Amino acid sequence: MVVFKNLMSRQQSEIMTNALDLAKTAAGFVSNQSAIEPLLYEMKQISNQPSFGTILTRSDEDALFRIYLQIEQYLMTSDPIRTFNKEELRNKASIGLRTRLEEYERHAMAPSK
Amino acid sequence: MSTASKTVLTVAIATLLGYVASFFVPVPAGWNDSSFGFHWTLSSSVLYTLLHVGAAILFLSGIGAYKAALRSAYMKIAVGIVLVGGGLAQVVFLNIFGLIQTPWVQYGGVTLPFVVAGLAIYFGTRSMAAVIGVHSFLRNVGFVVPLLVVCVIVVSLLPHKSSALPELVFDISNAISAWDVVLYSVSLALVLRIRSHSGAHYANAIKWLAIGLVGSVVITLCVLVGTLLSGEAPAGYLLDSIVIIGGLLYLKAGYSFARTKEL
Repeated sequence: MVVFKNLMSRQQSEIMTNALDLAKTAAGFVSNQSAIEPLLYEMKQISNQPSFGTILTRSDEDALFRIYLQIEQYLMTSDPIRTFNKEELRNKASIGLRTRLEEYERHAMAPSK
Repeated sequence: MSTASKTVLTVAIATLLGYVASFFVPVPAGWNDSSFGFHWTLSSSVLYTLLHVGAAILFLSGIGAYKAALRSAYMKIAVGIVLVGGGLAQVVFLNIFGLIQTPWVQYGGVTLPFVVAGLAIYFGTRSMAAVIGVHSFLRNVGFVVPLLVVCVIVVSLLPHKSSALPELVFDISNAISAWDVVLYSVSLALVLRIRSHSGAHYANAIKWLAIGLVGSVVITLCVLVGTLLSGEAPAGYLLDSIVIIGGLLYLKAGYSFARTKEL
């Protein structure tokens, strides 16, 4: 067992390329998981669907982006042990994923006509 | 290289330098054992003291990223860890430099670090659980204090081999070991509860804090059982070795915690 692994390197900062991994990673930063239990349940429901594969459908991705944004909001405003900022959380996403996330966010925030 | 890695390397180098330097300390005139025995005892105590201090430094180096309430919890834990190492080392220093007859020892000051260490670690983990929102009866002082009292009384009444120490002094020293066993065990249980609630990012740090506390429970239990069975506090290569391992476990716990500030 390597006790002091990665001593010479920064913690491996994995870049997420899909919405499920991004939402899961953000959820991992929440100090008390019970605070986001409904979101974790929803995430599990999506990933347990029989049709759920390596390539996400547009509706699954949108649902996961919505979950991610709620977790992000929680981490920035309500987590009891640490205050995160949007940039450091979104840096976990690949450029393509981040573009899609921000596009979803713009649509979700846009006032409905 | 991350700040946590630089800190752990600095601690490792300082610890090794302290360990090597202790071999150059001349054997005191009043020392009855071999020169090797003196240097082993001294170097081991220097080693585990520096390991515990290093662990506390690592914990403190990681708290900057967190909110005040968690910082305060980890500060208490760090103080407790320093007192564990320092308390054990002072006993060795007092022995080898013939200071057992000083008022500090005779009036019980020598036991203070152990009493405060247990309290600091318990109140640290209790605050941590409260901040995270973990509900447990172990957070309730109204439960823990009676538990402490009962365990201390039971241990004082346990049969034991006759000791050269006056019965009251012997019972007090065992009561303090029991005090620490209870407080470390309760802290360990709280840390395990915290682990079941917290996110994956903190899992490794909390796991190693739990392992460090397991080390403390085992070491204190060994001291307690050894004292009851032999009539005197155990000392020697085996105890020194497990205390060094205990220091290493806390060092790893401090390192894992310091790394949680990196996302």
